Formats: sequence, C-alpha cells, structure tokens
Amino acid sequence: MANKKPRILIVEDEVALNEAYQMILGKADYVVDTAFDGQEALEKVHANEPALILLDLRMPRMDGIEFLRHVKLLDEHPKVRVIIFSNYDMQKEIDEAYQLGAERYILKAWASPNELLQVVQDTLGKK
Amino acid sequence: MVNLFSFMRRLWHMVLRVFHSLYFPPALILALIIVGTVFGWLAATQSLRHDVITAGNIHINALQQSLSRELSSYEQILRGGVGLFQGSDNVTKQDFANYLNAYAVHKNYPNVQAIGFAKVLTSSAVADIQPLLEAEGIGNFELSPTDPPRDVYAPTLFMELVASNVTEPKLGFDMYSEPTRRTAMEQARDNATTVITNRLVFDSPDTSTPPVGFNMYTPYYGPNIPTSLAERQQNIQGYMYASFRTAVLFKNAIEHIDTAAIGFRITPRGQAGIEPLYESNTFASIVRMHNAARADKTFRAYGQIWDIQYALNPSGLVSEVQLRRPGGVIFFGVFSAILITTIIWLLLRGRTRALTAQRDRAVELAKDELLSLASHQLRTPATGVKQYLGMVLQGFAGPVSKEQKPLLEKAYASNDRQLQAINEILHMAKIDSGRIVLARQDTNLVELLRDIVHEQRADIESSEHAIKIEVPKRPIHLYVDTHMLRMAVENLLSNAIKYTPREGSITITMRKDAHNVRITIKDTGVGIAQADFPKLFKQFTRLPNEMSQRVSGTGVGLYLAKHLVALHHGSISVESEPGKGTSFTITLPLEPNQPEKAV
Repeated sequence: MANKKPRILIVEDEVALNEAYQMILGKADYVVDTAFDGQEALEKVHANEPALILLDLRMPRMDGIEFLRHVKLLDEHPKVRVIIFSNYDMQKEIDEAYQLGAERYILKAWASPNELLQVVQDTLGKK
Repeated sequence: MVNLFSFMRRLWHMVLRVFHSLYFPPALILALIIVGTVFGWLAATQSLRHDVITAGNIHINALQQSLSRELSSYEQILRGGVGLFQGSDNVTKQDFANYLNAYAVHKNYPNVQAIGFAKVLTSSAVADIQPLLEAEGIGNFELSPTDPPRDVYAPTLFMELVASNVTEPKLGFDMYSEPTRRTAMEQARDNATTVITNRLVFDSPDTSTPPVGFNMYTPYYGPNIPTSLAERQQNIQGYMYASFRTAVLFKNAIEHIDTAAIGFRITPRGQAGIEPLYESNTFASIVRMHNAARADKTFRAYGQIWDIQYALNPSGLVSEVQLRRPGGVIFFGVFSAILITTIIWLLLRGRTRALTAQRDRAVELAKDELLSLASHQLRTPATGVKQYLGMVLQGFAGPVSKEQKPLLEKAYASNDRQLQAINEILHMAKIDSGRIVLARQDTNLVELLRDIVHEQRADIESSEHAIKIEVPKRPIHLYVDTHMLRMAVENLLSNAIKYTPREGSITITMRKDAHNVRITIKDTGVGIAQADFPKLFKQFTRLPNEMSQRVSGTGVGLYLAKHLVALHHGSISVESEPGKGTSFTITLPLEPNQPEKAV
C-alpha cells in the first residue's frame, strides 16, 4: 500500500489486553503506540499525535476521564478520534467522556477481534 | 444505685433525643417568643396601670381639695358662731338666726343639714333652765334623754335646719348623751380646735335607710380661749356644730369628677368593723371591671382620718390606643410566634429533606459505582480470553485445522456465556434497586427481531432447528430502549433454542393491532408444567427438566426479560404443555411507546 496506515494509540492497563489489541491492529498494518495509563498516554499524544485513541477508563495513576481533561482534545487535538473501549459502564463517566470529546463507547467484553477492527475502520473512515 | 444510674442515663438519652429533634429549634423559638410576649404584656399592663393612676390622681387630688375647701368653709361658719357668742353675753334665738342669714347659708351652703349651738350645762342648771330659755326666746325645748340623770349636759339650744323647710326644729337633745358625739366634743374641747365625729346614723322618720353622716364641733369657752387643758375642761360653755349627711355632702363634691371613670369609698379609720361613711354609686361596678386600677389614699381633716379607696376605670382615664396596648402586645406576640415558628420549622424540614435526599443520592451513586466496578473486574479477564480465542479462531495466528475449530468455537461460546451471565446479573441488580432508566429511541421492531434471530443463527443451526419468522412486511416503529428490549427477546429465543430437542421447530411471529404489538416465540420443546408457571419468572430459578442438565444458565434470564418488558409497560405471557412445547408472548402497548411524530 502506498499510503502509510494511520497511527493508533492503545491506552489499556491490562497487559494481556494491551498486547492483544497490539497484535490485532498491528496485523491490520496500523501504526500502533501503546500506553498503560493516562499519564503515559499524555506523553505519547504529545510526542506523536495519533489518528485514533482506544481509551480504557479505569487505569492506575491517571484514568481515562482525567486523561481526556488533560489532553484538551477538543481544543488542542481536534483531529484525534477517541473510542472509549472499556468494561466499566458507569453511565456518569460515559456521559462525561462524550462531553470531553470521545465519539464512541464500546463495552470491551462484546467486541471480538474482527468487530474491533470493524469499529476502528468505521471510525477512521468517517469524517 | 445501679437503678438510679441507669435511670439517669435513660433520662440523659431522652434529653439528647429532644435536643436533636426537628421540633426542638422551633419549639425553643416559640417558647422564647411567648416568654418575651408575656414579659411585654406585663410591662404594657404595668405601664397602662401607671398611666391610669397618673390620670386618676389628677381627679383624686381635685376631689380631695374640693372636699377640704368645703369642710373648711363650714368651719368658718362655726368659728363665726363662736365669735357671736364671744361678743355678746346674751345671744338670742333671733341673733343666731340673723347671724346665719348674714351668711345666706340656705343659698351658699346647701350641703349642710343643720347648724346649731349646744350649751354645756350642769345638772342644776338643767333643772333651772326655764328662765334661760325665756330670756333667749326659745320655745320648743324639751331635754332628751332625761334618764338616767347626769352631772353634765350639752343640749341643743339653737338650731337652723338648712336642708329642710322646718322653721321650728325641736331643741333639747343632749349631745353628751351619745358617745360618738361626746368623744368628738371632748376632743374639740381639750384641743381648742374644730373636730369631726366618727360615723353617725341620724334619726329620720321618712327614709327606710337612716341617713349616714357626721357632725363638726367647734368649742366655745367664753370670751377667751384658755391655754391649759384643765381650764378648757373647766371653762367650756358650749359648741357650735354642723350636721352633715354624706349622701348630700359628697354628691356636691363629686360633681367635679367623672363618676364613670372614678368611684370611691370613704371609711373612717380607727373604728373596727365600721361601715363606710360613703360609697359612690359607681364604685362597686368599677371594682368589678377586669382592668380596674385601685388607689388607696388617706384624708385628714379636723381630727379624723378617712381612708378613701378609689376605683379607677381605665377606659374613662386613658386613650383608646393606650388601652389597647397590652392586647396589641399579645396579638403581635402570638402572631409573630406562629409566623416565625412556622417559617423556621418549614426551613428546617426543607433542609432536612434536602440533606436526606442528598445522602440517598450519594448512597445510590455509591451502589451504582460498586456494581459497575464489580462487573468491570469480572469482565476484564473474560475479555482477555475472548480476544485471544478470537484471534486464533479468526485466523490471526494462521490457519485453524478442522479438528481445532469446533473446540475453539465451544471455548469462545462458553466465554461469551460467561460475559452474558455477568451482564445479566448486573442488570438484575440494577432492576432490583430500581435504577434502570430506559434510553428510548425510535426503533423498527421488525428489523430488531430479524437482527436478533440473525445473531443466534449459529446456535439455531448447530441444534438443527427449523425456524420460521412471520413478521409484517411494513416496519413497526416504537419508542423503546433497543438494548433492553433486545436483551428480553434474546433471552426468550435463546431459551427456546436451548430447551427444544434437536431438530425441533421454532416459530417467531410479530403482530400489531390497534393497541399492542405482540411478539410470540413458540417452540416444540420440553414444555413447562402448569404448576411451575409461578416459579418461571423468579430469579435464580431453573426448572428441572430433561434438558436442563445439558443447558447452562444463570436462572435470571426470564426474570430479567419480564422486568425489562414491564419497564416498557408491557407484559410476558406463557402457554405450555409438557412434552409438546412452549409459547412466550411479549405484549408491548403502543400508547406509551409511540415514537414522537416527525415534523
């Protein structure tokens, strides 16, 4: 393929899941960055702006909501797409994530590898 | 000792409970305002009484001054009479009458009953009185009483009846013979001064209640007034006197005051048990008034001390505004007490309710958070299994052999059920605590139903069931929570697949009438005994049957389905015959689930 595939940042504290998503997205030729908490994710976003972030909510050091507050997605990174990809389903936090600029919320438990790829592809395809 | 201790402790707890009660602060404020009101009322009442007495004193002073003036003017006449006797050795009846005429007593002093002269006579002089009477021109003299004989007499010798038309009064009554008169006469004699008697009751043939009054005596010693007591007693010649009826005398005095405002009663002091000298006609009625004020005064005149009790009627003495002040204090006190207490109570109650609601909300939120956290923790490891199995199964790690594929699929399905179970239990917990809020959206039920069947196609195919779908061609739109309704229908369909032996048949129909949409899922499965119907929709209940050992489940599926449908104001009914099959029908009313009309 002539064009390089977009950069995706996986933010997930569960090592097994983080690695699984790396493998799934890597196989599909996306450029994959990883972070294991919000703090690390902030650094990665500043170093290399990704096209899409797969963001977990509950993480040590800095959780997903706090990450969204710090990264000021809507102001400083208007092009970055965010999918909340979490097993945590507290409606209050989901609503807050949407307000802070996330555009989708998916319960991790429901997405098979192919479904994950589908969602990523759909999101990046939308303008 | 122990009992006392425990009693004190109980008492202390009771006190604490009272203090922490919602009613305590308003009750305290109410009590304070009422105490304040009572004090205010007392002060206002006292101030009113003070004002009444101040106003009353003006009238009282006027009354007593007028009485003093009146009595003193009569004394002047008596002293003038004494002067008449001093200036002449032989005063005749005519001289006496002329003297009084000069004063025009009938006209100027109408309140006196009689003015006269009583002469002091020894017993021998009394026996030989006739020449004296003749010399002085006195006709109708008759000494009385005559018995018993006495050493000294003081019979009336001259008398002018002022308050009546009788021109020839009867003379000769011995004033010394009556103790009250004599006491005053001797006091006047000994002190060379004018003296008033105690209370006298006069003889009167024409009234049923004998008139009450007093006499006033001025002593006459001859040409000079002796300086020693012995000489005065020795030289006393007679007494000028005046008789008063109090009913007449005070009637004149009270003309100067407002009798509706003031009543009074005069009692001579020093006579135990004596009846009043005079009582004004409004005294009794004013005393009976609830707000009457009293003032006790003494009046000293001519050797007498009179106790005068005044009864003051406030409404005759102070303004309406002053009168109403104590009542006004009570009114505003009670009014503000009720108002302030009510406001404080309402504020406190509102605050308490707000606090309780806030606490309840915090507890609800904490419960939600706990549930979400717990399900998060349960889901995460299962999600890991799903991803890795999924990757292998979906060829991420190279081709999968024919032998491996069904094994991996079973593992994948099992993992899916685990996640499903976690989800169902979470939803059940939310339903149980009433915390599911429907996220309604316009949903095409026909499409939803097809989608659900499509999702479970793998299971249907693996159990080799024949499936028949009878749905209307046109879409049916309702305003429902798609996710929740899907969960309910999925549960019923999955039960039908699970509890129908291989190569069974499942029929899914959807019908719409004027009021409802009905979704029926009919199978040819094991069926349910009528007796088991009540247990069907209970949580964690799994009915034992020939399939249940081979079929996994949490026992919450139907419970969840029933409640999710109920949240949409719908219901689930069941028909079944053991061995023949079961038919579940979801009935959703159109009315509360109607989508908003597009404009």
